[in-house]
Amino acid sequence: MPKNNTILEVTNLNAAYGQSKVIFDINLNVKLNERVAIVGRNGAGKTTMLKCIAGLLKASSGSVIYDGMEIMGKAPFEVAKMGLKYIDQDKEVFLDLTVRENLQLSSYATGDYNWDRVFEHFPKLKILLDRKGAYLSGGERQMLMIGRAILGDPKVLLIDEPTEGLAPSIVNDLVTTFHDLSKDSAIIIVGQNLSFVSRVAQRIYAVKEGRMIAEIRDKEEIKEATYSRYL
Amino acid sequence: MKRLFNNNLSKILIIFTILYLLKYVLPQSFMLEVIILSIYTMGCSFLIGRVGFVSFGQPAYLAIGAYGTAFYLYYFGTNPFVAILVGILLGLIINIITGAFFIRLNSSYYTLCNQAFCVVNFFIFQKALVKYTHGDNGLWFLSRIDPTPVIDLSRTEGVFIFAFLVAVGVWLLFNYLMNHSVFGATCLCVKCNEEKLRFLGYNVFNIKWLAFIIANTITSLAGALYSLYFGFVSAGITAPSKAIEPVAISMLGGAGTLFGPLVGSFIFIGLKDIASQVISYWELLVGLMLIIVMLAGEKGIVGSLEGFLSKLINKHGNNEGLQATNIEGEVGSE
Repeated sequence: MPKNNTILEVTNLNAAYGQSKVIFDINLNVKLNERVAIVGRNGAGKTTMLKCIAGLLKASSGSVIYDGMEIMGKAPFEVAKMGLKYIDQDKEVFLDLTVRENLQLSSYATGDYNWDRVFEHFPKLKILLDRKGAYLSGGERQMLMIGRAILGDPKVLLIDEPTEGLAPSIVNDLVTTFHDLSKDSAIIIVGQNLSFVSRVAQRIYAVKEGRMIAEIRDKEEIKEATYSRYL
Repeated sequence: MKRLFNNNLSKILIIFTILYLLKYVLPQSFMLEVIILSIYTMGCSFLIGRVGFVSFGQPAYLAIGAYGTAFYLYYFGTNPFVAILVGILLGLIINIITGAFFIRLNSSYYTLCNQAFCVVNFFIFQKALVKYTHGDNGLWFLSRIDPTPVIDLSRTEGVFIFAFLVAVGVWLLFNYLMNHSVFGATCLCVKCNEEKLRFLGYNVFNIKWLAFIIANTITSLAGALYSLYFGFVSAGITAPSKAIEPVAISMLGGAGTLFGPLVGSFIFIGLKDIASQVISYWELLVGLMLIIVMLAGEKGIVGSLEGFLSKLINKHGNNEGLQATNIEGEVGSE
């Protein structure tokens, strides 16, 4: 069991695209079943941060401890297999594959064929099983992406801009879904939709120009979204 | 009827029965060339259509299989089955090694690296190993092939039956890989978005490597069959100028489709054998046809026809089909 229930601990993380440094000495930690948000303006380095944690980008220095183990330098598929899943912001599923096949892919990789948990959160996917990814709406794709990710019982879900391009009613549903999902996994959301973030997150990190400038724990401040002053 | 045409195994059975019967109408040598060329193209088509690897180096893999078979029959033994096995094994070993490096490259770099590999192979077989390969004069070993029981590979008839059975096996294998295996699905995902596949926990390198090995070993198998059929191999088999052929045939028939390589090969050999008797620049017709097929939807002949036929079958299908459409309609309206 990790110390203090901390499932993910990032220390002094630095990353660069070529010569251009993008994130500077990032420190963050997430506890089991916690819902954490990272907020910041476009280009603040939020996505880069998630990608470094997931192993998709090579960080120049720092440490990422997941479930008591150093995962820095591990291949993204190894990180995913360990139970740290990344959900991209582009809402792209495998377009040529049906919903069923998309889920099967995830099941095969994780050995978890229990889709009831997926349907419990997203009952609509059960109806859409034979529909190809190309014919799904943005909301349905988001459901499928999260559904795929929760197979294999991940301990941490990294979700990049989950509400981007979604209708308000679907965003409302996602609030409930993320609350439910956090019973099994810690969730880190990157987002600019502050009203959504305020309804989901228990703790917020504000990022500006690649630097972590504030950690907001105050419930009132989160609820009222007054942390926007940091952005 | 609809169910019959939706089942790929039935399609394979029907198409290969027709193919076998065609040898009584068309020259056997023509049909044999079509079969071997389609096996050759199958690997290339799979890599282009399912993995996203376009290679202008396929003659290299073909030549490795062909020379493996030829070396055995010319220098070591006389059993054609063993010779084919040697060709396949040599192809497999080379593919395992080259694949581990080549698949690290993306798009055009992969394409050009394969072309370079083809040029290197051409030089090796034509110049560097001329003492053993006899360069452009080639190795002649037809008279060294022993008759074999059941299927006599020392006769063209036997080679035809063997190549036909091999082709059926190859199509069953690719039908399984493309339509019924997780591996096939992951290959398609590599082509669409390999990063997404990594998020799910897949080792993309291994998937690409395995696809490369399977596809190019099938190409080496085609090389072994060519070698056996002609009883002769020269450095010309790996000429870089021929590198476009499997790519063009794949595109013409429909890259990544199950039957595209067969249709493409049939048209290609048909034009080469028939049109070349009328006009000397038969490649011009292939080029024009390729442009038209590409402009018609980039799916090749089979890809375009499949869409058209499935629409036709659905339109005239039974009530079950209509019911299925209605259900889908309901879901869509939600």
